[in-house]
Amino acid sequence: MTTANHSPAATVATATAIAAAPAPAPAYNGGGPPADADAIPPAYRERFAILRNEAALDGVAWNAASAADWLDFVNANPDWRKSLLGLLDNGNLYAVWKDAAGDQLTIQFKGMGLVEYVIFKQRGGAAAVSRVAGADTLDGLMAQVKSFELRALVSW
Amino acid sequence: MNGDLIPDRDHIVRYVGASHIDDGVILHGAFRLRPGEDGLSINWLECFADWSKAEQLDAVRRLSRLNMRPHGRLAELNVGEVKAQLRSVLDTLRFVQTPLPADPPYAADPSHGDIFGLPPSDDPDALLVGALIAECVQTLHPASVALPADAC
Repeated sequence: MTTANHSPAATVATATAIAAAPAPAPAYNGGGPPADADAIPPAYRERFAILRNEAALDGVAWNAASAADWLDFVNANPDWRKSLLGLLDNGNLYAVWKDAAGDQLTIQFKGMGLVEYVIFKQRGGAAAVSRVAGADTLDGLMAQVKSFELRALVSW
Repeated sequence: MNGDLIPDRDHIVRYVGASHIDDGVILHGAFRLRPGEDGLSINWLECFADWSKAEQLDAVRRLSRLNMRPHGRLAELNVGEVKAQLRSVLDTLRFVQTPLPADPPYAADPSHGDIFGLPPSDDPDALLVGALIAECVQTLHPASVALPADAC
C-alpha cells in the first residue's frame, strides 16, 4: 500500500505553528448549537443536522475542532463541489468526493488544521490506479490535490 | 462453527448507520474499526442455509443486538470479492464465524461474524481500506422493517 505520511517531527512542528498562530474570530462553535446557523452553507445544512443527531443518538463525542476546520475549509473553497459528508466514531467529520471514473478524495478533519486523506487517481486505465493515504496539514493537502490533478474531481 | 472461515462464495451484511450513508452512497467510515476493536462486526447470510434472501435478512434483523434505526441500512457484500479487491494492499483479511451465545434478553445469533486483519482506527490506511471495501457493496437493504407477528 502506498502511503505518504509526513514525519512525526514535521507534523508536530506544523501543529505547534498552528497552535501558536493568532486565533481567527470564531465564525461557528462546532461544539454546541451553531451560534449562527447561516455559517453552514445551505447545501450542507440538512446533512450536518443529520450527523449532529446521529452523534447524539450514538453517544459519539462531537469534535468541535473538526467541525470548525471543515466549515473553514468549505467556506475557503467556494469553487469546490458539494462533497458527501460523514461522521467517524472519533467525532471527526470526513468529506468524500467521487466520480464515475473512479477518482476519489477523502478528507478526515482532525482539528488544529490537521487532516488524514485518501486519494484514488486513475492513471490511464482501470489497471493503473494510484492509491495514497496519509496525514498532513490542510496546506499540505492542497499541495496533494494539485499534485494528483484532482481539481476536475472537486471543482464545479 | 466458532472460528471457522466464511466461504468466499458466501455473503455477509454489515449494519451501516446514517453517519456513513450520504445521498445513498456508503462511505468509507462504515468499514473502519472503532478504537479498541480488533474485528468488524458482520452477519453471515448463508448461515441460514436454504432460506430465501428475505428470510435470511429478517433473521439478521431479529437476532441483531444493535439498535438498527430506520435510516440505517444492511450493506451486502460477497466475501471473495472483498478479499480480491484488497489482495494487493492487505493480505491479512479474514472473514471469521463468531456466533454469539444466548444472553437474555438476546437469543443466540449463529450468523454473527467478524472481519479481522483490518488496520487500526488511528492508521491513515484505515480509511483507504474502508474505501476499497465500500466499493464492493452489492446491495443496500433496509435495516428495520415491520416484521409479521409470527416471523421466526
